[in-house]
Amino acid sequence: MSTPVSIKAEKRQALGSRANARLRKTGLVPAVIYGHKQEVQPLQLNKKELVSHLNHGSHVFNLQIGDKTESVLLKEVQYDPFGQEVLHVDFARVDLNERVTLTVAIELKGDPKGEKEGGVLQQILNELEIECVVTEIPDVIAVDVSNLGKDEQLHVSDIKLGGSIRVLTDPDLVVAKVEEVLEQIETPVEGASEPEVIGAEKKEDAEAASAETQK
Amino acid sequence: MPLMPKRVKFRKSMRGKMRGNATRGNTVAFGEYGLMALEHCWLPGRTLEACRVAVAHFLRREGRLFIRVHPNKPISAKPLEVRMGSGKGEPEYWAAVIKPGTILFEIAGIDEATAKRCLARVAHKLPIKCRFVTRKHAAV
Repeated sequence: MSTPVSIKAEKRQALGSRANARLRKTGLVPAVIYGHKQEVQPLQLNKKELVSHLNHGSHVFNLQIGDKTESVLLKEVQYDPFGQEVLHVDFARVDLNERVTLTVAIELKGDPKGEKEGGVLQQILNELEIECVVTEIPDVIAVDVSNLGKDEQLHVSDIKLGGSIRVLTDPDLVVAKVEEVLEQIETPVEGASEPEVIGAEKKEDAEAASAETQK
Repeated sequence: MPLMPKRVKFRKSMRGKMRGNATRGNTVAFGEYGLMALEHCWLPGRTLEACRVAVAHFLRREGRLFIRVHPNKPISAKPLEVRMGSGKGEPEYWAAVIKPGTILFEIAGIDEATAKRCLARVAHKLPIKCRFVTRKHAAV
């Protein structure tokens, strides 16, 4: 279960992309907090502290802004084009007894018995949309696949979650499967050194027809 | 047989530009681990094929490889010892236009250490700098 993680934040005065770029150079991350019909508040957080919590899959935070503490839910994280640096974070104010909808990562546990029979485990679905009380949000949804044989599938309906957690994703979707991967053997097609040009034949026919009419 | 399109609208294309970073195909979407390009280049079909063979030999029927790029740009060239002019050269090979951030290959069904070693072999065959990346989950 996701226990709220305490993290220090400061109010951000300088706004705009240039100010935020300068902020990032000093090891801070711009953030924003909104929701519950209160004012939108720009914030700044310590990047190192934030990233360590994000890597652990934390969703709920207790933001200490000055002498005030607010419970917030992680809404969005923006990354640079290479997906390495955190650029900006969105937080939504939440009540700890409130029910929220969010997506949580699925983590497959165990070695499926089908792998010994020559199959390869493939994870088709990587995250699950759930609805639950804020205090019951799991960091990751661990799914045991050790009983999965060759050519067998695990569906969303097979995942059992305790407490007040309700799964919103389609129960018929496949989460993981074990199947043999057949190596594709590409046989060279005769005369396929160049792709077929769309409309090339029509053009040739039209040219031939016009030549005949000229005669 | 290197990768190339089955059907095309035009035999030859203009050179084009490779400005900026990849805005599409820049996340690990199918496998668990991927190889990200950090520079831009034209990646020929035969290079992709060499990478595929390297992975096939390393994995020995374990795991699964996803090739995320396709060479759909015809690159033309003039023959040797030919004077300039007399029109554009004939298509020589097919290439994929790679921008920084593009995920080139993805691997699933193997552990991280093996995937790292496997994709390091692939990276040696590529003309650009690459980075090993793992899938990012949910909101984070």
